[in-house]
Amino acid sequence: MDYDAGTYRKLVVKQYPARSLRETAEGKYWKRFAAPSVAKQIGGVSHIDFCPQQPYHYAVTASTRVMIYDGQTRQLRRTIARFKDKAYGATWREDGKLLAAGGQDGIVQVFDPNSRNVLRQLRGHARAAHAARFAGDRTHLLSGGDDVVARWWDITAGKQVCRLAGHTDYVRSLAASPASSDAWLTGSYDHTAKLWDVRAGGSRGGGGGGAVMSLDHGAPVEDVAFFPSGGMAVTAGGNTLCIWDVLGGGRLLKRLANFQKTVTCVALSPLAGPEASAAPRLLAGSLDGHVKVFELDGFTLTHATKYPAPVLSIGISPDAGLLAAGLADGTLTVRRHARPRGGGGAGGAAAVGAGGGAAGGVGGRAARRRARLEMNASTFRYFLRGRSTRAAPGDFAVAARRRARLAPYDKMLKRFLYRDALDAALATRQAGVVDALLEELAARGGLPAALSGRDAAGLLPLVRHLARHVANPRHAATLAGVAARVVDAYAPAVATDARLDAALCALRDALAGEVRLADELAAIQGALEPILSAGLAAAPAGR
Amino acid sequence: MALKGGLITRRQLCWTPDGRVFFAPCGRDVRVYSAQSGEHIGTLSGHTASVTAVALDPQAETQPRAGGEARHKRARGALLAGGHREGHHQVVSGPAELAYLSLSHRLGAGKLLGLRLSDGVPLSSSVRPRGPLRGLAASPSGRYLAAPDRFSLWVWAAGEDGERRPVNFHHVRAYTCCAFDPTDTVLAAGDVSGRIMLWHNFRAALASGEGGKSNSAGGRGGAPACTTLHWHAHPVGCLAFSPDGNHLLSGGAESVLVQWQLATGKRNYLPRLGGPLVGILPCAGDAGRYCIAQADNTVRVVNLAAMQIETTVHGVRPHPPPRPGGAPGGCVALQPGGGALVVAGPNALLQFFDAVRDRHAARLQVAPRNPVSLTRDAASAGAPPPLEPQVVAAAFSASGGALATVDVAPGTGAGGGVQHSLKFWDAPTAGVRASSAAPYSLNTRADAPHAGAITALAFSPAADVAATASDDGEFRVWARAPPPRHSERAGRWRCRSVGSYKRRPLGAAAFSWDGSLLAVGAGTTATLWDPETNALVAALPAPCGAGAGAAAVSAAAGDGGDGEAQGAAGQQQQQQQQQQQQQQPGGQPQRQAALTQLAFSARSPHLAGLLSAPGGAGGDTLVVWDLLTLSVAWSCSLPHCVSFSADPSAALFAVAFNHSISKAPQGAQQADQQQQQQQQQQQQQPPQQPDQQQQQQAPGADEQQTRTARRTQRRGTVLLFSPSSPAPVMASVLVGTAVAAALHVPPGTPLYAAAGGGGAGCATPLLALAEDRSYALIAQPGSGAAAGAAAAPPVPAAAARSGGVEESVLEAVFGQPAAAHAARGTAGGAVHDARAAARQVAALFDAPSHALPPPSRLCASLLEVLLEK
Repeated sequence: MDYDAGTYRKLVVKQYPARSLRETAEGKYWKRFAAPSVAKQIGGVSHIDFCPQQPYHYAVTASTRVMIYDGQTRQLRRTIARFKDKAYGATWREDGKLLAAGGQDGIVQVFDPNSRNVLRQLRGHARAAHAARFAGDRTHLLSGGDDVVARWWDITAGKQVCRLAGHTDYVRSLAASPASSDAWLTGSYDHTAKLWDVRAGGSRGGGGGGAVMSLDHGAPVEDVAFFPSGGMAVTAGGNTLCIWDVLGGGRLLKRLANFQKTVTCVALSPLAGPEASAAPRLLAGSLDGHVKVFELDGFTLTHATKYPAPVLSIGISPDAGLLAAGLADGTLTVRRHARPRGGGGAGGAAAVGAGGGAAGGVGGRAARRRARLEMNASTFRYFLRGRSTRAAPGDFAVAARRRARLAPYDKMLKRFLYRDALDAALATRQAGVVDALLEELAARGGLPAALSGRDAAGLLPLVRHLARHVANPRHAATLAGVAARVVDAYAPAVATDARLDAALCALRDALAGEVRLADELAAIQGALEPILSAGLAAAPAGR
Repeated sequence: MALKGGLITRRQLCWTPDGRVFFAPCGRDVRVYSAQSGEHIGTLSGHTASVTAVALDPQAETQPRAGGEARHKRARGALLAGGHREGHHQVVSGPAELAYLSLSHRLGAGKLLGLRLSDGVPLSSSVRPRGPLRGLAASPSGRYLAAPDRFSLWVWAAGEDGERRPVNFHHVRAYTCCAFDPTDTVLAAGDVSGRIMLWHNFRAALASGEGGKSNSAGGRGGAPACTTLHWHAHPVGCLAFSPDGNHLLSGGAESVLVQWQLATGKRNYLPRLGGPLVGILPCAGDAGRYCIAQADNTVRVVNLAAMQIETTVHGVRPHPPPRPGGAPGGCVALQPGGGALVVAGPNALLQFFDAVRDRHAARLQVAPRNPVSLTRDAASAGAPPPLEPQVVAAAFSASGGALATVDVAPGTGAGGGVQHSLKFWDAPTAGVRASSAAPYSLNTRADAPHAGAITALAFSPAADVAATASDDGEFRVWARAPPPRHSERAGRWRCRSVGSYKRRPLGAAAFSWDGSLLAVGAGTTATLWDPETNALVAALPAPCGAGAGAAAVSAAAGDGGDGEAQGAAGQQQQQQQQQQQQQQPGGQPQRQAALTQLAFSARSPHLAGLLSAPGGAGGDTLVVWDLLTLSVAWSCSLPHCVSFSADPSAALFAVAFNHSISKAPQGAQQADQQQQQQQQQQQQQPPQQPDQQQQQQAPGADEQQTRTARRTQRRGTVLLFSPSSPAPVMASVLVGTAVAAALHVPPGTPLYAAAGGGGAGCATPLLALAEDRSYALIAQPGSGAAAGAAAAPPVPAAAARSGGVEESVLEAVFGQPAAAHAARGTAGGAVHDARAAARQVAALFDAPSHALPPPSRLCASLLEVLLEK
């Protein structure tokens, strides 16, 4: 009928309304970047670059090394340690077959990422070279150095083609235009980003020092990036981001001031963002530990993630399946999206997978035929035969009695072991479970039995749970009474165990904070009440 | 009309040897149930008082001896003539046409009586128990009988000679029950501490004539050996041996049926039966089947071979115990749409009882908990008994599609706090109904919706809006939020607004029938609010001296009648009583009184409220306000009312209350008082021995019932008022039982048709639920069913003023107010006492400003008073 007498009714865990009323698709998408793989490097992770080719290995520059991680497994593949001093800005060539990195000694080196051989050493910078990028034609490379010059190299010959002089301070960032293989943007600590045409070789006359265009950011420029269209660019410096219309003559479109500290890195991904919105996303990391995501239609902030340390570098894989962040304390965090949208490359991977599956299917059929031949009492499969057979319509089916699977606290509650049930509920670390169990115990009159007779080790999880949740309005009504009981009963146990004392102090602090908050709210209410009543009196009577 | 419902497990059951049907005494009838299907298949009626025991005649195996019919009645007549009074009864078939009755003497002693069934001649008996016997058991062979006294277990051999003296098996704790094994060698008895004593070879003691003690080892000189089994934490409620004698079954407040294997001492359990076990009946024909009676008015047929429950018969759930603060527990409602009677039972469940077919329909576990007996710690023995989780309020929407409940449970704090929980439920939609058995599914749960206790819960008849009032001074209006987009589920409930009136504790809440007004009772003032804007519309004070000088309408003290509507006869008596009461000086002042009930009249602009003193002492006052003039129309005093409701289709209010009428001779009355004092003392005992208290519950209930039936008739009275006059339109008396609630049957339900309700605009029939959970339908005057029986002529305005009341000054000035004549001093509040007003001018203005007449008119009267001076 309604419920069987004799069956145990499971403890019903309270369900609370959702905390936020609206969960945006954007927030849902960025929260799907889960399962962070954390790797600790020796020094701060200054640069992360994803290989443009599948499977999107990524090169991480930290301290004197460049590490190449596997894009699939996120495991370390290679370590390049051919630097006498600090390494800077390791980047991939478009085809993923070469890797270039600058160094503190001013030498720009070109590596084979598989063999780790040094293929070229480009000497020319008088001081540290912080940035190096391959050109789209695969044969040239631009590097920027602290000697306030950007140099244009021919890799095949290993010679400098020209130097782009015009900056008056360190050149720390470079970006190649997606629209033209000859247009480059350099960012410098002289507060400007300059657009260059390498065909002119930097020898274009005029006061601009050879640059086609100079964009005044207003603060030392830490990073520059072009939009996928090539028509716009973004510069990061100070605690602002500037969006420039490059085609429109270097007009400042938008200044984004969403950061507390210096913005250190920007990245653009045409595929990031939820399905519904096609616009690319701009990611920016800052020394305040935040990585913020902007959409590029209205340049509004759509998502923000907090990292435990200042963010020095970020990278997002071309299919937007991996999001990496390098922190100043040497932590490299790489998150994988549960369902990357992928691009053509992902489709190719799927096709490869399907092909492999077909091959496996052929092999599987043969294996199955073999298995059928081997069906005799000497195989284990023989004893499992018929398990999956469905009952025919006329058969009398005996329903298997399914035993309800009980949670540990339910098992204890069923056996009236109230103290053990409370311990099991605390072990789940879910405040809702503990709440429901405490209420159930109170309704049964079993709370004294559950709370009494605990030693310091038994009391510790309970007091810690109380300290953590007693100020939460959802659990306060239940936990306040329990806290009073515990404090009353275990007053003699104070100062017998250091950890217990610490937990009790935490409980006291939580309660004191709550009392302070209530006092402040009462004060605010007292201040507001005359205003409100005056407003009500002034408002016209009626509906 | 026959009473339906009722408690079927209060008395011992009996079932036929073939195990096909069992018999349950219930009220004046014996109900016959099928053990296979649990259907109620017949009723044996004929007794004029309640049937207290039922037993099968061993000679005629197919016919139960339902209380012995003629023989039993004859015996009772003889006993009454001898000055005895029937009390605790058991009929046990002895061997060879012998029946034994256990009676309780009026002075507290017990009495045993043997009868020859063939001619009804009493046997001479030498069993003289000291106190009332707590049971009577016969061995299956019928040769031995046992009856536990308080600390003594009397055992004797049955027989005609009756000269053999009974043997006393003494025990240091009070016995609760006993049972014989089938071979007449072992006697089992349970006590209040949960122990089960097994007296082996008790026949030897009978032969030697010496009894035994539970603490003696036995074996020496024929004294029986006693062994003890202990599992129960609460008193043993019932005991039975299996027909083969290998197993002993016991049950108690733990709701667990325990099967003891006597040879090895092993136990098997059938746990979580849902209510305390009060009786176990083995089936003679089928060794594995047992009939189990539970205190929650449930009978289960269990198969112990398979450890399964085969059949369950649910009666109407009994009242949950009252709450520690003295507030009444439980609630009763009628479900619109389905027409089910909804009662709150123990363990926080709502039972949906089909009142037309008199059978259990469904059950809703409001707090999803396993039924467990409460643990009482040794440390808290002196503390009051803990609160049991229970539902205290339930309200339906007009269509019955939504349900709001308030349930209470003990809080987690040490101070005995109460946690209130407000829950909103939805009826499943048509597609879901087939799959789920629950009548409602949870929509929203609000824990601790108010800082204080919730005193009232009201559902708007017009919209999905509900209101709760609390004694912390706030009321809250709850509304259903719009359902989320792209979702099938219904919208959740949210608190829409909070209001308070001078921070006074609120005691009542009611919506008007179109949902446009919300009335909230704040102290003695009824406040009217707009539930949409949360704006105060009006405040209606109760008359200042309400209850003191108001015309008293007392109970209709009519005699006879079996719970039927009484017409004019009762009401004439009523008039006399009113005159008597009017001559008496005024009652006690009701400064502390507060509005506990409010209801809008359906087809007239009136609001009615019930003013109760705290704790229900001193009676209530029914106040009716006219909403057009915003003044008191009339008020009258009533005894403490248990129920108050407004007719949904006519301008009528129903009020139910209980009162006792003593009809016993002088001597018996003294004995009553003694016994009452005893009972009070028992109740005042601190519960240091909770087991004893619990153990005394059953006999105490019996005695109370006896008193009800015999001498002081406790009667439930249902009065029907029209808002136009304080004279009741109709009075109905339930004889012999106290009324627990009177509910208006919602129109459009099967119950409405069964009650003979008329069309739209007619008065709605009432369902009166008695305290023993039997119920009857009361047809209304004017409806078709009532036309012949209870065509009550309109009562003359009994409560209207008679001579001797001076006209007030204001009345002289303004003439007679239209509707202000009912009660002196109540009209308008401003003209409370004109005499005093004449002496003291200030008294003219002794009323809230909004209740005063306009200054232009008041000024004239003031001048007149001054000139007179």
